[in-house]
Amino acid sequence: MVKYIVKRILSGLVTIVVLITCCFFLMHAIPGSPFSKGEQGVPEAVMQRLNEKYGLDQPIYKQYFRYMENIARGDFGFSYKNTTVHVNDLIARGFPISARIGILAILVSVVVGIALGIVSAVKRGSLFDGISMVVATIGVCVPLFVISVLLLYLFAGVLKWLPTYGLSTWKHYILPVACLSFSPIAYIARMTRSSMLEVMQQDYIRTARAKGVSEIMVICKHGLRNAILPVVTYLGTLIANLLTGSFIVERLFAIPGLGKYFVDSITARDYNIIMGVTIFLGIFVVICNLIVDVAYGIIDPRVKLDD
Amino acid sequence: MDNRFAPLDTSALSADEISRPSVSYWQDAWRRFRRDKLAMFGLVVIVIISLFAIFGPMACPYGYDEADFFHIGEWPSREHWFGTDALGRDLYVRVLYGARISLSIGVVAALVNMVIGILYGGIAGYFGGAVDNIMMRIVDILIALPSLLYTILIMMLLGTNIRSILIALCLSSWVGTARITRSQVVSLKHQEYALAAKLAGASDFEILIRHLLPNAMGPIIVSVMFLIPSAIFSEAFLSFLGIGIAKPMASWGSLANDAIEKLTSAPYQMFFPIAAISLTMFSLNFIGDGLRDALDPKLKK
Repeated sequence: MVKYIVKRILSGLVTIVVLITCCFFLMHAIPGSPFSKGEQGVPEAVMQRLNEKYGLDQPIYKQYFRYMENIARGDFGFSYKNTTVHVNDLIARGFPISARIGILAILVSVVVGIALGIVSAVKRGSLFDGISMVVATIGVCVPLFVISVLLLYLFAGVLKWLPTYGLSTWKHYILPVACLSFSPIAYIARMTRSSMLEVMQQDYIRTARAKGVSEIMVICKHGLRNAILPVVTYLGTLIANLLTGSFIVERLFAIPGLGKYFVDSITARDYNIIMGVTIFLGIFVVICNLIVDVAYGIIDPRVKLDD
Repeated sequence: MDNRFAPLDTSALSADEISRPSVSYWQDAWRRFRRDKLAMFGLVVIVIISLFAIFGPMACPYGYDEADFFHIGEWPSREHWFGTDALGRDLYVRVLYGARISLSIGVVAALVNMVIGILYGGIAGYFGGAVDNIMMRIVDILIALPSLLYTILIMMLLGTNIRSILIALCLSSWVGTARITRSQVVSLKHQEYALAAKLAGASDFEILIRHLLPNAMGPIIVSVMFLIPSAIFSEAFLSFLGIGIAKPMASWGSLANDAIEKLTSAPYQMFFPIAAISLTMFSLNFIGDGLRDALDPKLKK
């Protein structure tokens, strides 16, 4: 177990280093320095001072090692466009908001998805099963932005039940969380349904029933515990999906989260912010995957950890 | 007298006769695929959309960037089937051009990814050992992060146009195919026919290309089939965020992006592009599911 965790941490570290390296060299391969664009009137001496201040006059490998060093210290640098903006502040301001919505979306997707999956599996072939599987197919196929636009139009535009933008009351959370969790619910429901159907045919379920265990206990304790294992493996992917999904949802609902800052900085071509946020998100995803993998090993002892 | 033990007239028996023509793997798969109603529905829809995308703009009197100043922001009518946008451009033509872009991005990205993935996974799986180890560690690293992050970075470097979207998508999503190819090749390379080919003096490359890959094709095609909708999705995602296709070109994602502002006053501008993309995604996913069931009967539950 310890060996497995150490191995996973090491490979996670390698992933992060590769990401930082790729990011750094890609961003530096873009022609022109950050200060040359659109500022034709800037005198040579000012340019020199600027480049000196940000260390851009040094050879690229020195810049690279300095950047690595800064990141190791948790410093993602300044925005080149607006020098009062520090990438760390941006993350500190945006990430908690994104994380709050993300955690809510994870909870909603897991709870609703598993519940739908179980009921569909237990009442296999019923009308409920049919409807929920049609909805699940929609959720799997239709892109997030289409679903978000439709929900926004229906509940905020036509019915006017919910606010369209901002995050001031609990009502503001409903639409963004619903949009983000729609397709994860569909995935989890489909996954739970099929693994539940498989598990319910196992011998130990028959044994439990023969012992006289109540049907609810059979489903929840014997069936569900084994059926939700695939859902745990899906959590890593889910976190990555929510992250990219937040780019769309935060932009659509004007939520000042990290996703919105990221997209804004892409349209503004603010390379240092793009680089900083990408690396931050990368590190976040790697850590989440690590936790999910280790948790999976603990939950399901049948998994061979050192392969 | 007792003829119970007399041999039967064997000429009357047809046990050894092959009464039906033998069915190859692909014929069998096609038979199974044809029986899948949803998959056939998807196939028909995709063919119709493709025909419209190819021939539709030719039959239409408007260009995708032609502004008609007498019909600005109009609801669908006889002249403009899908209405016009805020600049008076005909949305029907723009949606059709969007179909051209989306479908060609999907197909090209899937094909390139298939070639890269098959070669990468095939080499890693066939040679095994240290080569395999190093190549698969690289895949592990790439797969650990959301591919949209890479795609965005590459787009930043290359600028926002259709060519850089294609390059970015081709570079970022071959890892799934590589993994599947590798696992297939690993399980096939110890089969007798591979050994026989080796004894007959075939080179490694020949064995890989001629003997192993054709036998591994089923699962690979299924994974490539699902790459098409995911490439279309990525393009729409980027264009929706305003970092995909450059104006005045139109893709379904950028059309939807343009329509957000006027969602309540002109919902038809949003309706047609998202209806087109949803229909396409449904159809492609149904085809993919159908292919998976047809090509890999073992997976079927």
